[in-house]
Amino acid sequence: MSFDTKPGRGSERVKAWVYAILNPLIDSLRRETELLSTGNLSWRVHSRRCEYIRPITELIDPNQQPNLEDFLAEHPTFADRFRQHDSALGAIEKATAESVQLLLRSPSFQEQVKHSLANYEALLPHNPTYPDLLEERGKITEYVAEFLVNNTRSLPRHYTLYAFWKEYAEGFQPYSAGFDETKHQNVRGKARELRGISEQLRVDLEALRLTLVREYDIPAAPIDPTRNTYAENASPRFR
Amino acid sequence: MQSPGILILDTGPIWELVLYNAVTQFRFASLRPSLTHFVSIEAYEHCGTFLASFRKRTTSASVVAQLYNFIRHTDKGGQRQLWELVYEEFRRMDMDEHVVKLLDMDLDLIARYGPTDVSLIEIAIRNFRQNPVILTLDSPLHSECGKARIRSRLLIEVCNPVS
Repeated sequence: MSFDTKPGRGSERVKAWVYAILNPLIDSLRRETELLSTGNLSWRVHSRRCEYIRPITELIDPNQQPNLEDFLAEHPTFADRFRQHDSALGAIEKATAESVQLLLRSPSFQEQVKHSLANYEALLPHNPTYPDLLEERGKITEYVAEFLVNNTRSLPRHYTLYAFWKEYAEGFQPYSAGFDETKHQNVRGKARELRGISEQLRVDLEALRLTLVREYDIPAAPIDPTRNTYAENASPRFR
Repeated sequence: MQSPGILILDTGPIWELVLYNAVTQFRFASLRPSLTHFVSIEAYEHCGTFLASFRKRTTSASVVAQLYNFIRHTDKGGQRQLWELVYEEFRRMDMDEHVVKLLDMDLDLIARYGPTDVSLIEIAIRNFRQNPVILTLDSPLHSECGKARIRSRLLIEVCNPVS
């Protein structure tokens, strides 16, 4: 950090970095590493992206872009770290899309889905609580691929595929091998890499926040959030 | 046993499902205070069992507009993620959606309850043969349903069933 003019004690400018940039990033990176530690990439077939793991700029309120630019002007090493994070995320999204594409084309995987569905339909007369999946038929293969890539072990009870997944999730696990082995390992490897990057980035941002709040004698979060003029948090929150 | 009936969801229960997922699955801890009904996993699961007991689930386009109103009052950075959760609930529950035109709704009822509640009542009336039930957390709508002889359930009862 090298200032031409060093901000003073209680600096509004430093508060803007802490409240509008550091806090939302730390919060999001913490969430991101928790998801990655459970093997959940939050990847979606329909959008082909990890919905809850986002590039750094998307974690900041767009209105706070000038504060982000100001922060990076004074802390240029973080620009590279952010790029490294986003590049690792882009690599996972690409690798996952390729892996899922191969899985969806795999005859053995298609056969497994078809077989499970036939078994499920045979169970329907004996299990009146199980919904029929007529409406879902065309989408089940994609849903299963999504559950596998996100390591989804169970579904909420009110989801149409709850009973199907409860019955057949275990049977599908070996079909992680139905993923092209190399592609699948590639996704897992890139997920580990991103987790490492995110964890270290969070630790360093937390350390910087501590330094700033000590040096400029400011609270780490606004004391009265309703009077905060900065974005308080990139996570959704009622105002 | 799955009911042959149709469940019509008001905004409150859908929002509660979205919030629960946001808090528990995606760690949006700041939203936890907004959860009013799913205060325990049991409450959430009781509701899940109730929802799953209906063969069809539907809602009104006005409910989607109300969800927008909720989401736009949250921090901008997380709005897309909240919408993704709404989409997820609709997709995974196989939720249907009906449009009820303003001119098809009773003016007196609109003035008293607003277009969202009245659209739900109208959907129930249109699907009367399918044994409709409205799920809401709104007591005035619940009592209006009683007067109109439409079955309705309050989310609080569904979350805490009498054993």
